[in-house]
Amino acid sequence: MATIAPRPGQTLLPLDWGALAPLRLRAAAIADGVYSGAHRSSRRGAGIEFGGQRPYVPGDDLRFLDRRSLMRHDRLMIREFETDTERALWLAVDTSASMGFRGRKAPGAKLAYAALLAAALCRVAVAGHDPVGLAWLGATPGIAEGSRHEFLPAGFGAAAFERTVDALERAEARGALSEDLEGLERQLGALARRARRGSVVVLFSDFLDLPESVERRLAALGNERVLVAVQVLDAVEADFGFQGRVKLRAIEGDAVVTTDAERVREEYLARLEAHSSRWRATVEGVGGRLVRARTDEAPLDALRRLVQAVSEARR
Amino acid sequence: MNFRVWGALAVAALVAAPLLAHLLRRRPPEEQPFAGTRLVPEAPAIASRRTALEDRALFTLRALAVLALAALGATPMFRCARLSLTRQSGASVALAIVLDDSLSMRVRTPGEDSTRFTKAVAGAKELLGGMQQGDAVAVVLAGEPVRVAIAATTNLDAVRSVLDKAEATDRGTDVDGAVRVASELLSGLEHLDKRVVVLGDLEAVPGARVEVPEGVRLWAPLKDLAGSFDDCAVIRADRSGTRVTVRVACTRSAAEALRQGGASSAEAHGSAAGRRIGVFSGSQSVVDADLHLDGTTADVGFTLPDTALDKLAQTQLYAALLGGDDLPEDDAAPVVAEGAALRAAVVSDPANDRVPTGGAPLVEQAFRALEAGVTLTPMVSVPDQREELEPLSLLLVDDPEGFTPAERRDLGAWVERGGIVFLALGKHAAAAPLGSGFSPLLPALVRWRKNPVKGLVPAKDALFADAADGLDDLGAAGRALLEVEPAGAELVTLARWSDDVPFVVERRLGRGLVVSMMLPLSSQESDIGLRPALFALLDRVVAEARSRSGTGRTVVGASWPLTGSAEAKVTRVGRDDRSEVLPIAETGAGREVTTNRAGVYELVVDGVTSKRVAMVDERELASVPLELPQAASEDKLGGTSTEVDVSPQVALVLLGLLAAELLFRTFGRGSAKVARPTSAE
Repeated sequence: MATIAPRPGQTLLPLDWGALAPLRLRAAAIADGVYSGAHRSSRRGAGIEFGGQRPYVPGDDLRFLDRRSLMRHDRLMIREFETDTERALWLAVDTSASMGFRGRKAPGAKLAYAALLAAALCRVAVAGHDPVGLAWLGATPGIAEGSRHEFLPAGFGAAAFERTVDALERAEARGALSEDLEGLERQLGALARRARRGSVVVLFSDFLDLPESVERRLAALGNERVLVAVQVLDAVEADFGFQGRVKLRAIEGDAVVTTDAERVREEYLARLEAHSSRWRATVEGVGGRLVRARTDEAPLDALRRLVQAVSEARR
Repeated sequence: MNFRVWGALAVAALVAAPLLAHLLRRRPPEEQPFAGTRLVPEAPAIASRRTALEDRALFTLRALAVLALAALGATPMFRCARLSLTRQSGASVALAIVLDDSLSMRVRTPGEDSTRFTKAVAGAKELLGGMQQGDAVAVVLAGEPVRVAIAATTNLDAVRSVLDKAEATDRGTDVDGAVRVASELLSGLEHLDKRVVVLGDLEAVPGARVEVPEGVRLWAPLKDLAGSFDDCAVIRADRSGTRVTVRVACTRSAAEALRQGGASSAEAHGSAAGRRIGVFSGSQSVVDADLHLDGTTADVGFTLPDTALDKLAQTQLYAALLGGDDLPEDDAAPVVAEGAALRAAVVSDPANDRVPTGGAPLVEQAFRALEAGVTLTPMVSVPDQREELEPLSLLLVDDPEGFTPAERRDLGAWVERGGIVFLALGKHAAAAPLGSGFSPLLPALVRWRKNPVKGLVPAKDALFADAADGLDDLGAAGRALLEVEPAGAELVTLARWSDDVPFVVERRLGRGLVVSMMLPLSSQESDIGLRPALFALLDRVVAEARSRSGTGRTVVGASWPLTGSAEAKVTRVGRDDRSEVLPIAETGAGREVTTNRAGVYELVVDGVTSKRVAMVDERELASVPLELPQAASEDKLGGTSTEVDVSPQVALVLLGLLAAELLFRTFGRGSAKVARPTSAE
């Protein structure tokens, strides 16, 4: 039942969506369970709050002149409203081969789970009238490498949500990030250029095979932006739930290890924690947050933690 | 076992198949994809780990399944003896189980740890297991006296509970009486198929005959319990000063073996050999000697050394047999001072009670003929000192002229403490001097009148039993009549003249009893003194005296009434000083305690401590095989099923094991094992 994406050179298999499909409906359902006002809108409208008054100065827009104040006190006052700068949401999804792994108890592959979280977060942002863009780390589904179509530009409204979901549904897990460092550098650089200052960048990856050289790029990306990293792990990866003698093969790379599961479980978990801590330190060093999500946990819970992390990182 | 069974059992060898499969399948682990491989440390393989069973639970399930399969094929190789009865066209059965709980049932089966009694109880439970809805079961215990453990009931759980609590006792046997009682229990039931099942060793006193009424069938299925056993028992040991007399009784086979053993040993060793008997203080022998038997009983005399007498105050002496037999439980009996035997006084006028042929008065001769073991003291008047009454347990007064107020007060107090008075009322009783009377012993005015009738109401009741024969022509010139005082409502009439006038009345007073007969014992007034009925009457009052006496010795199974006492505690004191408190039962007649084991008992009644002794019934050793009607052993009544087909149960177990394996394979492995990748190479 468990699947992984094929190794480089192998025949490509479709992503194992499992119980996470259909993406559009499930993302909408999950997003509806999250408070959509987690961050304030950047656009004026019915929900804009009154921010106080100040004396009129020449050049002020007369539409905001307080007529009641003029009639009662014979003073020219201007009504002010709270406004936010535009905060685009950029979703960056790791599509390397390791993200295609699905354990026995997982509802779907890690990439499918990440896509679901990304789509749900997109829906939340769109509901708050924020622009949403999508970027890939690794193979770009159906798009030639280096093409400008590697990115889905930030857009508003339902159309942006539809475009994002369409792109995510075409996602494929393949390749190894460590084998194409140049391409990865290019993708991160392009993302940094497109995501303007103040944007929120949410990066979905398992961080297990992400090259260490990416740390510097991530630090740069988090500078003057809100960076939230989501580490998506399968239950087998999080708990090392093997038994007895096992022979394990890396999904990206050629590493093969034969070991005794019970004897090395604790050491593996300690190494995994140390590995995650290093990435957490990198992300938190630029004011961001790292959230761990297990594919066997309810997506709604993971999304709530993610929204909370975004909210905390923006303060 | 036939070839098929052996073949099926050979399947059990396949239990090794799962293990073999495991060993054959042992190979390097299969490669599995894992993203975090570079975080996993290497671990060298350990040989034992590689050979260990990874799924022990699964292996166990499969091994059990193979064994169950073998057992299923081999059934019905399982054989067990289970007692069951045959039904007539499937009709409901009314069953009365006669369970012998006498001393002989404590004999252990050779080569086994169980006794005859435990086997009998097991048989009763097996019978109970075959009962169906609508069947009625009663249980009667055949140890003397016969008791109804549970009347006929369809509540089989209650019967099972009774059987669980049943214990072997040191009582004598009354199988014929038990069968009679069991038949009576079934008589009122509507069932067409009524059976009395005797579960015991079928030993009874000589002359006992078992009869069942028409419509009731008798069945004795456990024939293997029958058979003689070797046992010698110390019945009693009496001490008079330094002289101890020990009564020993043996079964015929034991006596025969003892004689032969003694003779052969004497020839071989030139001295008397065989079993020895002695008097012991604790485990220390005070005096002992070889046991010689002429018949099946012997009275062995010992003279105790003076040092032993000094120990009497501290320790209880026991007379005990050395050497083993089939019943070690009855090889010892406490030594009781002769003065502690039942003491009775007979108050009679020698002039009136004179026997024309000479000799002692009638009542004294009757007591001696009764062999009741009573120390009899003749008196010419009622003791006028309270101290003279205290040692007595029974007082027989023949034709008294009433009692003075002082005598009445002392007698009344003595009776209330447990004394028994037997009054034979005659002419003198009706001519009591002024101030004399019988209250409170007999709250009535006694008149002497001419007897207009002949004989008593014919009734074979508990008072006279078989001795009632011939009482219908009892003749007497006169008889005593009672004008009962208001308090006389407490009088109970035990026997009546044919015109319904009371002949024997009884009054309970405190813990004591007053029995009054309306004729004197003098042969000049009537021939009652020459009839067996008098023996039955005297036997009754002696038994009552024994049951109340603080110094008496009773046969095991006797009940000691404790009615009238505010506080009572009865403890059996074992030879090893271990004590056991006996439960006090509340019966319709009052409170009483019943002995089931021989030995010494300590009674504390209203703060007064006394000792009593319960002894083995000598007749139990003289019992002979009971002759049963031929039909009682017919196989058509039931039998011992020797082959039990357990295939359904084994098949159920097998099904359960297969289901468990399926569930285990489906859910048991958890998330630990990742399935093989589906990638196409």
